Amino acid sequence: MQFWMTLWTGLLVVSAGAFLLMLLIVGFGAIGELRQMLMELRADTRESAAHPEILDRAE
Amino acid sequence: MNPALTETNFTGLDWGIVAAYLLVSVIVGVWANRYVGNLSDYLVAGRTLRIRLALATMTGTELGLVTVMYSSELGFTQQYASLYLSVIEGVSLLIVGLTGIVVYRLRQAAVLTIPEYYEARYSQGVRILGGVMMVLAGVLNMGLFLKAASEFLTAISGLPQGDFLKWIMTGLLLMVLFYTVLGGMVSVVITDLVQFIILGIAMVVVTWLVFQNVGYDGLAEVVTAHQGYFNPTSDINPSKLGGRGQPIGVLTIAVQAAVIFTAIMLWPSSASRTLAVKTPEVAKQLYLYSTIPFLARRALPVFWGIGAYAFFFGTTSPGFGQELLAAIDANEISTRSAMPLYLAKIIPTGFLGLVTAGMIAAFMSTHDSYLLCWSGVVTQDIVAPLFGPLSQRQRILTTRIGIVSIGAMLLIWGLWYEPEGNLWAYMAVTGTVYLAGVLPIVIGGLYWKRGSTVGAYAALIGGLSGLLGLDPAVRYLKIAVSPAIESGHMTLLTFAISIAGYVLGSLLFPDSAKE
Repeated sequence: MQFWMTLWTGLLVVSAGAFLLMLLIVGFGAIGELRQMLMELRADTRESAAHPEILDRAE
Repeated sequence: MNPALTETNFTGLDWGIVAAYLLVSVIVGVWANRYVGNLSDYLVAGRTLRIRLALATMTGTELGLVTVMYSSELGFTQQYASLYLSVIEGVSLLIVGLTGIVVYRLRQAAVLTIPEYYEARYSQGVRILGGVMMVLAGVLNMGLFLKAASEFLTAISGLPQGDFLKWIMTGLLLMVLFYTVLGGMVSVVITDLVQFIILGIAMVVVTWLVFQNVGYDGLAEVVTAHQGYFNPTSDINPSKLGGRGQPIGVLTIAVQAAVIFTAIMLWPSSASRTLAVKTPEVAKQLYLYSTIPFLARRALPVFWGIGAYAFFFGTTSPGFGQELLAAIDANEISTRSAMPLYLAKIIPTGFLGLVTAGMIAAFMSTHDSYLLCWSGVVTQDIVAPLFGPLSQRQRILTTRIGIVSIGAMLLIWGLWYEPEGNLWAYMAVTGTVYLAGVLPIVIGGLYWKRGSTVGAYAALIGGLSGLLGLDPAVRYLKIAVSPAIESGHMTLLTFAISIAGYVLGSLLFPDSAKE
């Protein structure tokens, strides 16, 4: 029993701790990345607005 | 049922928090529509995802309310032993993240969907059949998501089941459909980020409150004083739930290892993130870093389920456990409701609204991705090859129609199907229909030059035998063939049939063009 309970306790502690850390790191960093993504997508929407025929070309 | 069992701290303040969150989520999703310029933007956000954003959206998608519900159900019925699933998933992710097996080459192939890869490697027919199998398995797999979500909401808020259940299911689904139809993957990514933050905070808060409620000694007493199940290799579940708690054992561990390892690499919603990242290197990193949230997505809800077991069968609330079991036997509630009923009693008003908003976030972030993923496959891999060529505008319209149609199917399926085993067992069985076929086709396609079109067809059709793992089929097989047959046998057999079909089909009928 001791082996299993040590394994499960360790797993729960590592999961909770690492998740909290990841939440902080990803939460802050992802907002900057979202801004970059939206800027890149903006270029696509401009191109589609300038050349709407691209959207109607059958592929 | 004893009213004390369903007593909750949920009040009007909590409803207000939930309503505010839903409103913000829908507004953000609709606003994202302005960033959709073409088909690639709609389906894979223009392949612009970087590592942190990809990790947030991957977590948002794969940490759904259904995951929370089935994991906590396992925590409640199988206690610590159910954590073996976290170990399997964590080890699988580490292997994929460190080696890049499958995901690196798949991203290099620069396809939008997995069936598109089937056409590039095999033939258009394999793509269409693969697309049909993927959607069939996916919709079956999602069939109980709505029911699990509404069971959570009714249990945590104290609303009666019945008609409320149906209205809640419908309302939640309509909201997700609304913003997913409009903004596609761009809406999904932005709402996933909001949902990741809210559900992440909710996960941490709930875990802390459960720990405070049960305490270190209470957690130990689950096994020392209350017959908790801790050794997953044992096929006897000694818990106080009696026959309501299924045993695990070596066969189940082997089945879950096959299903989870394959799903980690090739489950369509995960694969769609692999295909949406900027480079193959980012795809590899994404898997390595995903080990953390994937460990947490199973381990933390299991912990809440263990907390529920300690609460209902411990010394703090004598008699509650027996009343709960009586309500379960009378079909008034299911074992899935134990965790939300427990949380409704220990989380204070205000926090309960935040936690509920977080869990609704988990529900929405999974549904939006799944709906987009399956309907994208319907458009790109079934409709376009059969009725094409189609313009980008027509493809986006077809995808939107697909999202609404799949949503309607989910609503109908979720209302009338009731699984007999636990929720995770149902999901593993339905997932196998797709996973058993895709495993040899993609791995063989990427790493074995002799893999052929006939082999791919054989593997896909072999995957259909996974349906024999569903409860009604297993009941029939127990009578007609052998009482020793379990669902797990049929799952392993399905993988074996698909792999054997692929290898034999490829060796006996090689592709002539490649000879």
